[in-house]
Amino acid sequence: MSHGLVDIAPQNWVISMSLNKAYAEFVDILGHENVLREADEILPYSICRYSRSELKPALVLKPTSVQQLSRLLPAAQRYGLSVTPRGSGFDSAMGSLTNGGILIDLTGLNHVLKVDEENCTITVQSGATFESIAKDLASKGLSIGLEPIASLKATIGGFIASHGVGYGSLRHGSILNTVREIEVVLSDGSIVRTGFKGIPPGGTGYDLSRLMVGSEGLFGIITEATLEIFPLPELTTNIASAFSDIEEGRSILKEILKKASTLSSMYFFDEGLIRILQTGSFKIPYERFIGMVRLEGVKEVVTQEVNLIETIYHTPLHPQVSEQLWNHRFLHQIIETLKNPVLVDEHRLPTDKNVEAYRTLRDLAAKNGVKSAFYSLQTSLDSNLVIFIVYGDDLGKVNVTRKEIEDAIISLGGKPYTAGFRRAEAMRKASPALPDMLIKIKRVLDGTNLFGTKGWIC
Amino acid sequence: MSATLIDCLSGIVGKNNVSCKEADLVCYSSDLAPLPDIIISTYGIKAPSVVVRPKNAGQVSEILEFANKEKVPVTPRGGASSAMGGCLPMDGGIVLDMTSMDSILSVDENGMRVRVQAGVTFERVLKEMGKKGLKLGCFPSSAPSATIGGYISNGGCAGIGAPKNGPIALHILQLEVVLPDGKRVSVESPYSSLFVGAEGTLGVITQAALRAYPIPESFRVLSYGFNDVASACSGLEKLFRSGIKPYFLTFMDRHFLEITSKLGLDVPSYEMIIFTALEGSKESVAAEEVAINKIFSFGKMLDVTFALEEWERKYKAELFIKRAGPTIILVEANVPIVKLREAISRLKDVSKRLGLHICLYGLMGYGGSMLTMPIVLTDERRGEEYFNTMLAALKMTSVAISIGATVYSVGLHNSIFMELIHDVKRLEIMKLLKRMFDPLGIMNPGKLTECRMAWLTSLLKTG
Repeated sequence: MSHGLVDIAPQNWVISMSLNKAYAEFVDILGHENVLREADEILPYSICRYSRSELKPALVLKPTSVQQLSRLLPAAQRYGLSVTPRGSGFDSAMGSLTNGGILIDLTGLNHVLKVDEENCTITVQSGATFESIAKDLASKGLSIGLEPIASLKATIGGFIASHGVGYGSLRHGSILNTVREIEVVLSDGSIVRTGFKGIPPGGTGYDLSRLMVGSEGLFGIITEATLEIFPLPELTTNIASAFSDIEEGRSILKEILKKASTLSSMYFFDEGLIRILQTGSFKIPYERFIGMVRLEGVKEVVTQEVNLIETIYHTPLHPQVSEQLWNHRFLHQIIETLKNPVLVDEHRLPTDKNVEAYRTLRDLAAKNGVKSAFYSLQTSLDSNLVIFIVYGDDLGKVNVTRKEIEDAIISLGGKPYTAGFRRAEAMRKASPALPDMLIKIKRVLDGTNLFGTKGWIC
Repeated sequence: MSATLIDCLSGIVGKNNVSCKEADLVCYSSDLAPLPDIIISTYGIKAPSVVVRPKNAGQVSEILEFANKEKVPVTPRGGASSAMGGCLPMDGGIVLDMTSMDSILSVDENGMRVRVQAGVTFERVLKEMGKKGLKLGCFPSSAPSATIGGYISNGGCAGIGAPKNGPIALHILQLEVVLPDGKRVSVESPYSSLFVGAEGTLGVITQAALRAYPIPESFRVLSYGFNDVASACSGLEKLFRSGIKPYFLTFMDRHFLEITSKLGLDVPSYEMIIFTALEGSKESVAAEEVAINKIFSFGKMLDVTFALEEWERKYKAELFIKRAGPTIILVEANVPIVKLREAISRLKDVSKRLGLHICLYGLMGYGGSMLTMPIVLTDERRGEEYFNTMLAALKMTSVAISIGATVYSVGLHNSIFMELIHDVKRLEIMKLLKRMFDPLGIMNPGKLTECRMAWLTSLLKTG
């Protein structure tokens, strides 16, 4: 279907001619050190953290100010180049990669601009990492309430662009809940503020702030965000338990979900993930399933609910193991230990489909002779973020298995966490009407298709 | 509209669901806050030619396709419980009465979600969910008449549950929308956000899947009387910063209480009363109560009977006050809590200068916003007085905006503030989005991105 939006793919010689001219202009704006084109400099940008790929940018630009970005984009547009923004590259769908286009590394825009304790907000540049934001806030007894499950080195801009959910979501929702205002640079270089710092979006016309959530860099480049902040809880506690099978695990966790009011995170994983954890430095006991809940809130309430949960759990793990498990919660750090070709896939799934999703993964992995691991984070009462890890010596088999699981998950009502290059087709299958609608928005915000479509919004 | 066109619409929805009766057309030209003839004629508001009541999305799609072909304006309408004129058919044409699309399609306690047609009222959905021990995360205080689609379309920011669980935008899993060209689309969160607060200008919401929440074991209502506004406001600021999220919170000023008392209710006399409802587990509610008592220690904790009665009245506050009118003009300013004290004092100054009696009522929203509603009582039958009062109300809105507030739903009356609230670029994007989705401009014309009352701005400056 043609919507007038076609990913730019001119002949090689055209690219190299315009690239040379563009290069000079980019250097003029950014300085030599912030325009990368040598093979060894560019190589790290062909990785999205969970996997390597063949996709390489032609140039990597590292702006350090919004003004630079606002000059870069119209220049790129003039030279007919395609632009992809990138945070720390922790996505699992290759959304932060480009095939021969310009990659904009936003990690140079990493300042915490303002902590407004009166209004309970923080304003940060989009390339700031969760780690640096948390550090800044913790000294004031505050937090942004959410953490991505991949790594604290992920950037806030990437999290917003992927409609991020993570640790803390049971208490604070997704990033959609806490976003107040976003600054975004459009392809024509214009800088747009989407809302208000003092008031959450809604009820004053079209909600441009929430429109940027989940936009995956296809509408514009998020450069700044104002988010709600929360006082650090008086007490946090982690309690883990072993489960003999997934039914037992689900029913116990469901009961806790119903009864505990201080839950901030709840997740469980299978023996596959436990085995991967065991290959690392962490000496975790072998179990079939492990479930983990994190409570946070007022001391006496948390304490009471810990007691309650201890009566619900059949086989609680030692408190020290629980703490260690929490310290090993970031998936990137867990998966890094694997040597084999590995594929990680993330989907949002209705909560009542967890057991089926797990069985599907297990059966498909067994059928295809690859290893697998399953992880599921409760992100709200109705949804989970499920992670499938597939690995083995045979990349072909790994690929086939991943694809089969993806199909099965979509037929269960799941949706890819993000589209990116890799899950664009799956996203179209899961939400067939969405691209048509998003194209209309894209035509308004990025009429010249500078940011491409990744095969999703087309 | 010609008889042939009416026949076409009858062909789509059936004869019984099309009405051109004079009484219906008059009825469908107004919302909760009826306008006098003088305003209707100065604003150029037309009566609709026809009221159409679709039963399903297929019919909505056919109606919009038809309207596009014939270039007939379409104004969707739910419970019409907003007072901002959002459902008034500015250019006449078709009023799409959504209230016949009122099926509750599923209440899924395993998946923790509910799927409903957009024209069903909140009260009915809540009743049905209650049978399974479930409820919605937030709902408007006009739940008996407000429809799901109407609340979503108006932004759904303040209401019961909103301070704790967030606005309706955060409870939507999926929307089915019929776009202006008649195309039906299913849109999941977060992409559904575009239609939240779009006020029927980008299409018609026909179905929604919303998150379900369990009805918690414990519920508690509390109220506090304050002898000065300042200490009530600083209490609210402290509450916001404490991270405690009440389930529901309202405030009422002295004038509001006086009128309520005149209307025969037994209410205590204070400069300001704060009412709040908490819910959750037994332990968490108990702990929150202790903390809130401390935060509001400058006020006097009121007898629980008042709090219980206030909870019973939760659906009726504005409508009740209306009896003293008989007409109310509502200003709905969404004020950052940290600016509340300033906003209240500025609003009182303005109203005093204009010789008006306002009563103040407020609803806590999400994330530190306080929907502040100066209510002006008037009588729409006295046109000129009404007009001046209305100008005063607009003046109050602009004062609130000048100190950092926004409006809550734009509709007709607040469309003149869009340029004040948004910068040029943001407004331009909104206009382009409107044109992209609705190139012929048939959906709810004269609202939101379009302001036909710019002439009023000059009156505001002089008045």
